[in-house]
Amino acid sequence: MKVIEVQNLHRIFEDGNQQIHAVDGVDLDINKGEFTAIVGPSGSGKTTLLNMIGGLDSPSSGSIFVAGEEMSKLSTNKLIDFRLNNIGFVFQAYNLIPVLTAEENVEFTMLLQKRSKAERAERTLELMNKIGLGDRMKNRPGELSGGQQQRVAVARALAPKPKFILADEPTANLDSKSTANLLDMMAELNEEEGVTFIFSTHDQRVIDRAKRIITLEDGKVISDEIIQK
Amino acid sequence: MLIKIAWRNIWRNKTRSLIIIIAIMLGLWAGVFLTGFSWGMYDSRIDSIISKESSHLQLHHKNFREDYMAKHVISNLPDYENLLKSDASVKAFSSRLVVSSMVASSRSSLGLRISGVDSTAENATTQLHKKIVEGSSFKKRGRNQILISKKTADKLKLGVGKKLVLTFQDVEGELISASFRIVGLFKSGNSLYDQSNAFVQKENLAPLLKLNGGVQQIAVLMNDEREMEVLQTKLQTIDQNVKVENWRELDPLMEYAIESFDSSMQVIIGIIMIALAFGIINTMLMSILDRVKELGMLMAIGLNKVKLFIMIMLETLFLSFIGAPLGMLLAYITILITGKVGIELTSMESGMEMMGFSSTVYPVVLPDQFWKIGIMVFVVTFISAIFPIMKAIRLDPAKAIRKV
Repeated sequence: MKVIEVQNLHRIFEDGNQQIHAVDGVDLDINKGEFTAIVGPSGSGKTTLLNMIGGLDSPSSGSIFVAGEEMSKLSTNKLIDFRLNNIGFVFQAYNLIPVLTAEENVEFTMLLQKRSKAERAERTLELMNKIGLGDRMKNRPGELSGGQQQRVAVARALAPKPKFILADEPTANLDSKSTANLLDMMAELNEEEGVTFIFSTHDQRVIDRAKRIITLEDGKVISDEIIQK
Repeated sequence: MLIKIAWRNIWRNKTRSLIIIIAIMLGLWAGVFLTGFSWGMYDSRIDSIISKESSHLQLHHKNFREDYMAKHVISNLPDYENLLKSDASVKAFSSRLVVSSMVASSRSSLGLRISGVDSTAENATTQLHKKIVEGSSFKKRGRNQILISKKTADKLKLGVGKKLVLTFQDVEGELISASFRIVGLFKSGNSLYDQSNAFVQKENLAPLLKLNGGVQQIAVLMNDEREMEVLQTKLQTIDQNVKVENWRELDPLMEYAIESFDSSMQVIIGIIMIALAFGIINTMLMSILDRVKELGMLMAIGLNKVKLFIMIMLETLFLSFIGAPLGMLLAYITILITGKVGIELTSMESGMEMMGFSSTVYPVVLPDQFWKIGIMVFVVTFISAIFPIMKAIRLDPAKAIRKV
């Protein structure tokens, strides 16, 4: 089942008199349950593509359908709601809310969805246990290691039950052990619960775990490979 | 949760938040205290006008205040006296003979308004006896006694026990001169009043004016100012030739001063509020610029613009909610203390007295001002927060997240 459908996507940035084609005619589909890495050198257009798929940036031309909805047709407010209910984000620098505890960070997106208190509490506990931080619920981000913070970020992304999770260089700030733990956890979520993950990454450790690798260069898809494991 | 985030956010940078809380507190304190102080000044002046000078109401022949001629007499005095004696709202009243006079000593001369009074009634109405600073009030024995102000005595280079000559027109327009002996010098605290008034006994002045019954002026002191207009209307109906005026009508300059007090206070409070607004804008802008990445993340994960607006507005209002009550409390305590002990403006004494103000100011608590200024602080806080919030709302989440 297609979760994302990208059709002839272009993103052009103006730099003085120069036009930079960050994404140049990309077509791709992502299906439910994929564990996809978008790879490529710096400036290849990975982040731009991810931003557009995540509804954080608008294409210059072309279309992106997420769960059958064309994102560029949504108003700003509807797009925010759409992101809340359909897309989970994991950022390179964790980006947790520093004044909230781990538990409250996970609960936050469900609160925006206006879920009941009981439902929020149940899912938060479930997710915190799943990421192995059931005993660190009351800790604020500053009291957690980088790896632990990124796990909380994954739990927060999963909390509103999105269609897929976009992870932009999620392991860039982590040491080997934390990277391995995080990838194990994500792979487990993918395999056991069918959570769809899309990474943009340079990290070979992530690439090695991916089931599909899409390589970009100069804004174009130069290879799209399904890895048989 | 937004409330929780907003509350915790303001304590992320304690120094910055404390600075703005102190700014709000001092802004409110300054506004409330300044109005309390200024109103205290005016309040004591009004109090002094009523209790020591003009009283609440004054009655004159309708033409008297045009030329101050002795011939303009309130002839049906008993009617007024009967009403004033029977009305419970009247505390005291004094019926006076009033004449414009030339006063001469062997060294100098000047113009004064001479009031012929009944000592007991006058003391009850304007506390004349309490203003005596040298000599005494009227003595039981002795004709043609006069009380002049210390200021007039200095100008005439006269003292207690000395004589002076009054020259004025009687009711027929004839010039009359009579010699009076100074028994006391008074000081009211209002230089203008002191320079233009002197008091003699009614029974001495009446024959000189060739007046058989009737007075030029009746001053009425009331128990409660709120009943002033009712009594004014009642008195006005007795005789259409007699004009009944309240202290505001008698002293239009004071009325104007009170009105201009209100506008000047508004200007000062306006300046304080503008300073406060810039303080808030600056603080909130810094707070937002510090959190661009975080705000971008919040927008990316689904915090819509309305909620973002509410969150930052709550942060600003929290600062205000802490600063404003503290400022009000501080102002209340300051006014309560200074209102009891008074603030001495000794260096400005002569200037203050020239305008009729006491040099000791007792600030007063104006509950209205507390709420007005309090509400203004909240409104200013709310409006000031809008610019920084708009800055936050316009953030591009994709760019904001990548901000280093």
